[in-house]
Amino acid sequence: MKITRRGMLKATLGGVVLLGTGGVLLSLRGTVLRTPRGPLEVLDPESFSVLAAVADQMGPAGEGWPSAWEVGVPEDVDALLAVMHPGDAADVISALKLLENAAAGLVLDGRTQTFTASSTEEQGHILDTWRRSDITLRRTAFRALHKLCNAAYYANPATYAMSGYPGPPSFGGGGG
Amino acid sequence: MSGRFIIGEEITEDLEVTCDVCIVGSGAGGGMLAAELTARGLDVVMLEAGGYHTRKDFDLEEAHAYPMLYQDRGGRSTVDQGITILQGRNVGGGTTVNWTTCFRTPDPVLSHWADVYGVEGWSADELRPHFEAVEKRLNIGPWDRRMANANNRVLLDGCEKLGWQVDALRRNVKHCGNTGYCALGCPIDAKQGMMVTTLPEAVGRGMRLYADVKVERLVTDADRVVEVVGKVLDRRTGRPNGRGVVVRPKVAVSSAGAINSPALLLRSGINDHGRVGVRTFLHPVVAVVGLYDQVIDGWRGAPQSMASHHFIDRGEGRVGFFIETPPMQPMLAAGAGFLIGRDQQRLMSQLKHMSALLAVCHDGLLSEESGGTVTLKPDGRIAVDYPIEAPLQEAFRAAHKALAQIHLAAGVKEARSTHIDPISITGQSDLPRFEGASYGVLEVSIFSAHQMGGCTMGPDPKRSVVSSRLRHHRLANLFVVDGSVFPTGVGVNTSESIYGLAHRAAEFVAEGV
Repeated sequence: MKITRRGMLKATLGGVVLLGTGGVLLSLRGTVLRTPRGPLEVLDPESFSVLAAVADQMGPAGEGWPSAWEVGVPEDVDALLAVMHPGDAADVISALKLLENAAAGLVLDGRTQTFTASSTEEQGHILDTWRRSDITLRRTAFRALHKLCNAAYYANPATYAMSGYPGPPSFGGGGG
Repeated sequence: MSGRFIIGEEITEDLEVTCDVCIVGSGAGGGMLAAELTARGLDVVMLEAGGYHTRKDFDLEEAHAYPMLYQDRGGRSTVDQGITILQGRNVGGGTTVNWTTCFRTPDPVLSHWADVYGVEGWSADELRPHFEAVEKRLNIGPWDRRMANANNRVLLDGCEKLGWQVDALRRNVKHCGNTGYCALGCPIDAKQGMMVTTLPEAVGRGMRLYADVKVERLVTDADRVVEVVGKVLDRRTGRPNGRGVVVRPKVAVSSAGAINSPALLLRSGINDHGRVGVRTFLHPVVAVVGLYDQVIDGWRGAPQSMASHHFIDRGEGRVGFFIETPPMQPMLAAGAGFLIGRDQQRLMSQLKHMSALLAVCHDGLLSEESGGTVTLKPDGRIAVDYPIEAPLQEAFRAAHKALAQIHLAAGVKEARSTHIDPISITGQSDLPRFEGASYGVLEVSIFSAHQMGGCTMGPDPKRSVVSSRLRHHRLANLFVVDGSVFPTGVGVNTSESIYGLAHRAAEFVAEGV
């Protein structure tokens, strides 16, 4: 039975915190860490690494496209979160931790690995599961991560050529 | 009094000022109102949470423009992420980043407000001189069909082949260079937004405009607002820098826009009958993307220059919609849909050949439609909740069919919905596929570029927040002058409705001083 939008557990990105709280303590496997190319402003090493894995699922290398990691999407998202409301950044971190959480994955999906320790194919499957989930909270979390990673990836000049986009014309403006 | 644009970093100590009128927000409502009030000789102070940016700041990169010029750094959405909300946040507000489309508020909508909500003084006849004035002031005029870019040409040609109503729309531009970058800040000041028209005019007549100042609350005493209290924001971080601003005006005006005006009243504890934040309307938008053999290059040329109102009146009990086009820079294009990884990349690799048509749903007219709500989270953030009820879902399905038909008539190779699993249409026989599609939250991509309601006007304090003269029902020197006062969606792009509203409201506000 589908959990409705107006159900008992109301779907907000903030609600992810509730769903994730218990599971954090029960995590079965560690996070496969990635090293950022500079100091992080908001994300901790674990959430940065989960974000990096998600970003590479959104923008994988191949067919001429650079990977999201190559073009710096995780660092760009970290920088964006730093200038958003702290509550927004905290919500995103909660979503990343929930995604990574193996205990929650075990209970809801039967998976025993953390997200970052899963294979590339398995990570894609997990994100697809969240995208289609009957649990609105998961769809909400997916959408938030999808928007952040997609925006940072496709707005990056390193991907313009593959989109066939020439980039904006120059009128001498300087980016504020 | 000497007027000036003052940015946050120039405010080096706590500030206390007095004035005749303090306007919160510098967009379509506040900007137009400021020009009219200063023309009457009033001393006006304006507070704007967003930054002061000119064309010299606009490099037209989406990665810079959305965080710089939009609410929540471009990330505003409903709490469940079901609707992406594009809303300006800068000196000039939405008028700096809108796509320049201008329509007068349709007569049937004004009549509906009078008949159903008891709104007085807002008939088409009473508004006509105000619309005429703002059209002259902002150079609002029809766009030449021959200038339509390829994306708008799809809409024009498709509708004409189907025999559906379509026409060039009106835009507030002067010497437009047809660059296609309206949403990212006009690089040549052709767009006649508030930043290049009414705000400099008002400042020239003595208005002090403080940018980077977020108003935290209105302080009230009995039946009056006595202080407008704000915090100065650090431009880079968006965080308060420790400085404060207190304005003591004779009259306070909230022109912070739908969503932010109700939020300001809620933060101030002004919600006498629980009407603040309710009946929020978003003109929810769904899209169908078309892939063509020919080059579209939808990032070039005026992004929105044609419109079809063929489906605005779909009969009793149904939500109508109108059809327009968006700009097609890659970040915005990639935001439409739920595709991941290689699927998304393969779609985006066809961006040059991609057209997108939008159906903008006219919400709020049906008696069963209550719209969305604006509330505050415990940490002060704004929460917009908007249920996708059955009438809207029916409209989305009908809209998708209509958009696909336009694409087919225009010669599309393949049209695709923005569902999790896109519905692919290559011929008329595919159209029934929409019948089985789901249109619930996060099952299809939904946007909003028009926000209305939340502080609705009307005669009854138990059903509305302000009177038909836009004065708060209890607080005698508080006015709300922006799209939040509209009792329903307006059924056209909102900017001219707000310009006209503010132009008319100047008389009411001036009388309150």
